[in-house]
Formats: sequence, structure tokens, C-alpha cells
Amino acid sequence: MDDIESLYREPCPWRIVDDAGGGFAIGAIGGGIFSFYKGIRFSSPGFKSRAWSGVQALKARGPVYGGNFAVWGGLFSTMDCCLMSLRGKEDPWNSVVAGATASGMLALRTGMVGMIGAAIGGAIILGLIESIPIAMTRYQATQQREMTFQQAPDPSILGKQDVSTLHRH
Amino acid sequence: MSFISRVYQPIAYGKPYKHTYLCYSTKLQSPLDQENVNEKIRHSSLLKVVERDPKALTPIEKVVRGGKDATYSGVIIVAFGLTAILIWAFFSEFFSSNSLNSLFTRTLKVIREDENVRRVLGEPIRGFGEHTGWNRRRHIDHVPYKVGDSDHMRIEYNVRGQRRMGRVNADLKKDGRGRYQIRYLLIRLEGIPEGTLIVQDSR
Repeated sequence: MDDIESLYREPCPWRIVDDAGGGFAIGAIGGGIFSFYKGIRFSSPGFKSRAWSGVQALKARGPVYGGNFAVWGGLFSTMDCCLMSLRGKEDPWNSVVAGATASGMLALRTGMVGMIGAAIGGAIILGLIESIPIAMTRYQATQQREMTFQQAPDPSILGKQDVSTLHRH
Repeated sequence: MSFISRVYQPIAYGKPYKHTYLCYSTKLQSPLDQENVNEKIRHSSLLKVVERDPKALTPIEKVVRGGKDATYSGVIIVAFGLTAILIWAFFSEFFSSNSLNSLFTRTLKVIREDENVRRVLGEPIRGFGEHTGWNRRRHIDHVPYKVGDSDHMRIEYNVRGQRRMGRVNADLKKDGRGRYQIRYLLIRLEGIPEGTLIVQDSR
């Protein structure tokens, strides 16, 4: 608890805006680089023409990618917040289900089968993303467990521990 | 149109290198005897180059291609390995009763069912961990440790009710069947008045 302010601040309604903005930034930068490369690749030869074509493609397509990512991020975050509020806890399940719902909703126009497929895809991707910190935490925990810790004293409010029961559990 | 294309098609598309070469050399040598020229060409080393199988590779090309193949397959294998690790982490976290997430869920359930806690904090009670990046509060503080041979785990997270919030301290110990059982579970209330709610003490 290094930051006491953050403990009292509920992230949830504002997080949707944050995530939409972050999604736009990621999409605009990544999509901009991608479309700049595509513009260079599929232009007529010559340095000037290639550079111009790259810039044109970046201008035309980069913000579009940004917008797509922003929609995804905003929808995902909305779902995440709803789930958090409904279930009353924050855990990775929220993300996975939110990813499935968000991509399912975005595939609404493709029909039932398309929606289910998109939802499964979204769930898998979010599950993999959520697994990264889990895997790291588990790796750290296994390393930590190797070192034998002295048992930290129990909180004094619980009263003196009965020593005879300590090793019996 | 069809007439033109029929005439020009063999020239445009169906012309192998070998044929080009023959035409070229016959022109250059201004042959007296056509057969003689053909004989010369047949024994020249250039003809072999022209006629060689385009799919066959020189040793350098073989090395380059082998290196490329090795790199690509290495990348693919590493990617598969990482994905497998992630999938394993996912399943062992979400479908195991000893994972951090399930300890969080279990202790939170105990807390929610406690009459005293509900009265003090106020319903609904929500549980969350530490702030991590992107406004997520998913990280649950935990210290695994050992006493003798038995595994222990201490976890801490936050709860917030309608009226007050607090920090949950829980100590868990693995029983004989390897399942974590709660040793004690208490909530330190934030703010004023200070206080501690002892939810469970089964030491």
C-alpha cells in the first residue's frame, strides 16, 4: 500500500475513458507504423514517391486503426466494470469474460455463429494476456518458497498462540 | 484479339532460357554448318548452366536455406513453448483450489458470510488487490513460507463495503491432503475509529 490515495479512488467509471484512450494510442501508433510500411511497400519506386505514399497511407489508415482499438478498449473496459460491480470482486475472470463479450458484441452483425466464434477468440486472447502476470507471479512464488522463511509473528490482536497446536495442523 | 494472342503467346510466355541461348549463339557465330554449331553448343559448359534444374541449389544456397529453416522452426518452437506455459499457468490458476485466485475467492466468501463484517462494513462487500498498471487492482499480496515441512501462505487484500473499507490479513496452511486451510482471517479497518474484525481464528 504505497499509495494511500489510490486505495480510496474507485477506478471504475473513469477507467473506461482511460482504456479507450489507451486503445486509441496503441492502435494509432501501431497501425500508423503498419500502414506507413504498407504505403512504402506498395508504392511506385523512387525515394520521394515512396516516402510520400507512406505518409499518405499513414494519414489515411492510422487513425482508423486507432479508432478500432479505442472502440474495443472502451467496450472491453465497460464489460469489465460491469462484471466487477456484479460479482463484487476483481480477478482475471472478469477480463476473460469481458473480452469474450466485447468481441462478441463487435461481431454482432455477422450473426450468431460469427458472434460465438469471435467471443471464443476474444476469451482465448484475453486469457493468454491474463496468464502472463499469473505465470510471472507463480515463477516468483516458486523461487520464494525455496528459501525457508521464518514464520512471521501472528498479529498480536489474536492473542498468544498455543504453541502445542502450531505443528499439529 | 484472340488471333494476336494465339500468335504471340508462345513467344511471350512459353520461352525457356535454353531456347534463347540457342538463338543467340547461332546468330553470333554466323555458322557455316548448322550441325557443327549445335555440336559445339552441346559440349559447352554454358549449356549445362542454362539447362540445370531451377529447383536445384548451390551449396551456399543450401546453407542459407538451412539456416533460414532452422531459425523459423526455432521461433515456432519457442512460441509454442511460451503458449504452452501460458495455457498451463491459466489452467493451474483458475481450476485449482490452491491457487492464489481461489484462496482470494474462498476467504472473500467467508468474509461476506460473516454477520459482524457485514454489519460493520455494510453491504455489498467488494474485494480487490493492489493497484497495478492500467487501473487494475488485481495483484494480491502474498508471502509463501514454510514451517518445518508444512507450507504456509499469507495473503493480504482490500475489502470495501457501503460504509467502511479494510485490509484483509489471512494466513493459510496446507492440511494433510495438500489443501490450504485458513489459520486466521482478520480485517484491519481503515480510517477512524480504528479496529480489527477477527473473522476466523482456528489456530
